[in-house]
Amino acid sequence: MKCDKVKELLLTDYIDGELDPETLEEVTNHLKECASCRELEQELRGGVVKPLRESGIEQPSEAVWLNIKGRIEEETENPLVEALRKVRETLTFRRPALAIVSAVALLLIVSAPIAKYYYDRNAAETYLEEQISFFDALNNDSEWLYEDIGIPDENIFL
Amino acid sequence: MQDIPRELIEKAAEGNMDAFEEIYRKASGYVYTIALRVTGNISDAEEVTQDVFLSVHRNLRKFRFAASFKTWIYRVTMNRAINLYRKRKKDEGPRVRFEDGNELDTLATVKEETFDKEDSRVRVNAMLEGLLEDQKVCLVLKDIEGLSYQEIADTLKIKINTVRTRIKRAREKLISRYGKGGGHEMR
Repeated sequence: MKCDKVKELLLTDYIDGELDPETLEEVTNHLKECASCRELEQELRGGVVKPLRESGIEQPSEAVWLNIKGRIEEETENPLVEALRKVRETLTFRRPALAIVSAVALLLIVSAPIAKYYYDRNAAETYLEEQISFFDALNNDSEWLYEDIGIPDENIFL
Repeated sequence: MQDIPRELIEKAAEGNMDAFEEIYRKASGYVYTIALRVTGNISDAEEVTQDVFLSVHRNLRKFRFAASFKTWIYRVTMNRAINLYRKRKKDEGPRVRFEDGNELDTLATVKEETFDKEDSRVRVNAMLEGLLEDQKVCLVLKDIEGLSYQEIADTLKIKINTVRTRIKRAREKLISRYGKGGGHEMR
């Protein structure tokens, strides 16, 4: 087995005890003969794996259990607390940027028909006002009716 | 973590608080240690532990035993711990990174001393802090929690070879920092 392969196995399956017996024997035999791979094994065990494995399992303070117990009792005694928590959890946005974009999109969707309604209404009112003014002018035979049209007066009724 | 007996889970799901406390006593150290290694500080680890067990309690009735209870707890813990770690990093903004030297100096000093528990925690946290998130998670489950490659793959829902690759890269990075003379030539 070549050094590259051995080094790869040293970093993973060998050091973690996941090698099958046959490959384990090959690696072990290689280590007896190869100083460079032996050195890597020692550094790996002493400098990397040992500190992590020896750090062990730590215990949380007793206050953590007391808090958990208190919260459970509170939820059990008062189902409303649990219901409110669920509502709050549902309404909580985990991504604020997405929440802002969603809010703006929702606002646009809701406001678009309202804006269109007012735009149409203004247009209709303007049109009606113009029509009223026009007919009013016709009735009164107003001078401005024949002004600024850009064509000679005699051609208006042709 | 030991396997939690099915009867104990069922009793706790029926509202038996003593049974739930027994589950907590069996599993809390493992949950807390994962959270501590991922988040890097005690108060966040305690917050994660509390969240995990409240979530476990709320969902005990829904647990169908399709997956291992232990794997489920590990998965919930890892998710909560990573989420809180990301949130803290985002809140804190850019910090002096491990590679920038300050922490390396601390480590070099610490390396020469006999470690008590706190020193060991500082050293382990500093070692893990320099790794990518996915590498750190695999290494914690392997070296600290003692899970097999298959159990890590099941917990994280990834392929076993992905677990292997992440652990290999994590160790390569660590050995290049903590090996003799600042590193060992990997290839």
